[in-house]
Amino acid sequence: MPVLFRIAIRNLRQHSSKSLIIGIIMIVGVLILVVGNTLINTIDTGIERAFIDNYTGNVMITGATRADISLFGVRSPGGLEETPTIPDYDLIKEHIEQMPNVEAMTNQITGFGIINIEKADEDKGPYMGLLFGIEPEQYQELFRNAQIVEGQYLKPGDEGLIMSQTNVDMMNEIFEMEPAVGVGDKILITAPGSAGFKIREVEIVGIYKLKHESEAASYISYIDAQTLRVMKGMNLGNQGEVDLSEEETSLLSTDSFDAMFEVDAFSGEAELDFEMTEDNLFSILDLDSADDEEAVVDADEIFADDTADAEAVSAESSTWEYLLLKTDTNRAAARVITELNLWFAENGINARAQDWKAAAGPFSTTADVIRIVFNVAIILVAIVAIIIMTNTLVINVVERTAEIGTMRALGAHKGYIRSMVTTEIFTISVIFGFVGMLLGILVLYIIGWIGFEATNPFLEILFAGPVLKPVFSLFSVLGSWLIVIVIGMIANIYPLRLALKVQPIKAMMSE
Amino acid sequence: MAIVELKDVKKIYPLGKTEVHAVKGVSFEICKGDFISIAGPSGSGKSTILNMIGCIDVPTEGTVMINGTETGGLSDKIITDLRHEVLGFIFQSFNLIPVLNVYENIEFPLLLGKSKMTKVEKSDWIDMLIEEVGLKDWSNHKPNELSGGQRQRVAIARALVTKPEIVLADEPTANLDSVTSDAIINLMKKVNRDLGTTFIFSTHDPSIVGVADHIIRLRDGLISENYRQDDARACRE
Repeated sequence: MPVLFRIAIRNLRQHSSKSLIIGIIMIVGVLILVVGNTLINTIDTGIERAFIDNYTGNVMITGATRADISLFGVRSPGGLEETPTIPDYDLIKEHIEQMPNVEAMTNQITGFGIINIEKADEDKGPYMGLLFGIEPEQYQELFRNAQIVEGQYLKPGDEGLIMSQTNVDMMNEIFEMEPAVGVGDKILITAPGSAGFKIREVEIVGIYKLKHESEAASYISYIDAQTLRVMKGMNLGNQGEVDLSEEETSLLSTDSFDAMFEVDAFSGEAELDFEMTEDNLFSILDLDSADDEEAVVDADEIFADDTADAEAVSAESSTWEYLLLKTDTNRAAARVITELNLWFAENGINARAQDWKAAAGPFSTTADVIRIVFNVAIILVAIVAIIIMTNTLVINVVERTAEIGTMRALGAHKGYIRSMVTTEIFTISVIFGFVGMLLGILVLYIIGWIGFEATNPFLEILFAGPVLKPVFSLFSVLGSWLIVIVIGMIANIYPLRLALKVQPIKAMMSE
Repeated sequence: MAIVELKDVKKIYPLGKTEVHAVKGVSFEICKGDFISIAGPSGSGKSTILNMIGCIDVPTEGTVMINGTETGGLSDKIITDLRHEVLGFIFQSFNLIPVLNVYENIEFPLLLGKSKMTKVEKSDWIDMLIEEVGLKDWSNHKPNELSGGQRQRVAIARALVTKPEIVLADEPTANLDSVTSDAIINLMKKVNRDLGTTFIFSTHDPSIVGVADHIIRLRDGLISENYRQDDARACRE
């Protein structure tokens, strides 16, 4: 064994009380780091899995925005910036289909709606619901986390909505309905769109439960995309061009609604004060009496030509706010994002690809916040530990001044003294750090063996399941050990400087 | 030839706002192979002179020359190499490394620099030194398991292990009883005679001063007597 290690190890034994002080600090340090980092990794993994599996996928593509965008909209000051639709959707989709790492993709529109129940007491409810407009088949292929517990999943082309059990329970609690609201019941959704508020009556077709709990995901209601488009004023079908006569245009351009409805549609008596005949009005509004066959036919003719509608519906199917991708591995996501953003830039497409954290928005920050709090606490503990260790090491150097002086007198260079002092703290760090690491693993094993149960959905997210099972990471465990060794080295800076200042003449001061 | 030469060496230590003139201008030569005693009462400056010869302290004025080289102004690295290769030290309090055993303490200086000896040669040489100082049965013992005399024997063996030209001993018998003191001085004398190593030791014990063949007596930082047994005035070439 090299003499430096021999001296280091024997000095540890010789100065056992000081070694023990430093050692205990190191053991506790590694223990905290190993257990803390592993639990945070567990939380990280749990949250990542919950988000990626539940509703973000690995990659989110949106139109470019000035402010941050997540699946819940644009986080702009005052909410002034609207979520853009994805430009060149078909081109992007075609490109993604050729990307080797992309396993599946789906589209989405996000909206918020005030949910109400017509039969409910006026003083009950309403409450704000989060709506994801989806294409059921594609969406289910990507996110298989929702298990239908009642009713059925949305079917392509059908209108309706599925709600989480959490949502249904909350709704029943708010509205206090008897019997409870469930599958087959209709709810009223009032949603803000580009053309003001719109109210739609939507049937609950299914109730789901998540395989892996997620706080945000449990509040999502999935609605057919077309209904949400209409509610948000995104439906291009309304923008189909209809050729109107001069008189019809004149009528629509009037700003006097009172004048328009002064017509008694049932009696047929008109008191119009503008140059418009009753027939003209009814031919447009189809409010003519049932016995006016000619007028009805005229209206049918107007709407019989649905070419423009068909084109619009086709265009609508390409009108999405989000495109969500699942990659074959989580690691591949970063590469896919980089490639896509480069491709967008090269092709002048005003879109952006981001990771699941961006997609999850504020909900993904739970682990980050916990990690920051933990790291701040660790930094504070590390500072205290460094101070204590520095003091102990300084005492050690002072006590060994004559010994160091003797070594210098015998011909030891400063480099030798540096190596000796560094080897000693390194040896302490390695030995006690290893003990701390083993204890940390033991504590985690015990935590896993006891199996702490998550008593609420939030804990279930943090635990990445109903029971806390720490996810071991060799990198994290060895990293903790390394951090403590580095802390030891930092604590050794000042004592080492003192040791290097010891002159050979100090050897003569030994008594 | 003078292996050590001091020319008008002065050493002043600051002591608060005053100064202590430990050595007030000393000049002498030490010849190769000398067994020299620097004698004098406490505070006469003998340890200070020894420290300056040993390159662990520097004079305030004057020059100290080792083998014709002036030591003042040399870099820390060169001075350290000089101490390692040319000088050996025996301390009043033995200054053994407490965590190393007898063998390892003696071996220690050999580990500090490059040695021309092979591993086997080193081992044989250390074993011989251990035997020479009479500690054959104690080589695995730690310093705290040895008596004062035994410790000083280890220190002598350690001082000799690098085969230095000069061994400096600062009051080597100060912490020993008279019998052990005699034994230690005799051992040093034997090594001086057998290996031709120059020994410079300080002492205030009149009984061991007489063993030296060159005696320098100090009083209040000045030489009061510079006496050679062979009556030679200068070192022979």
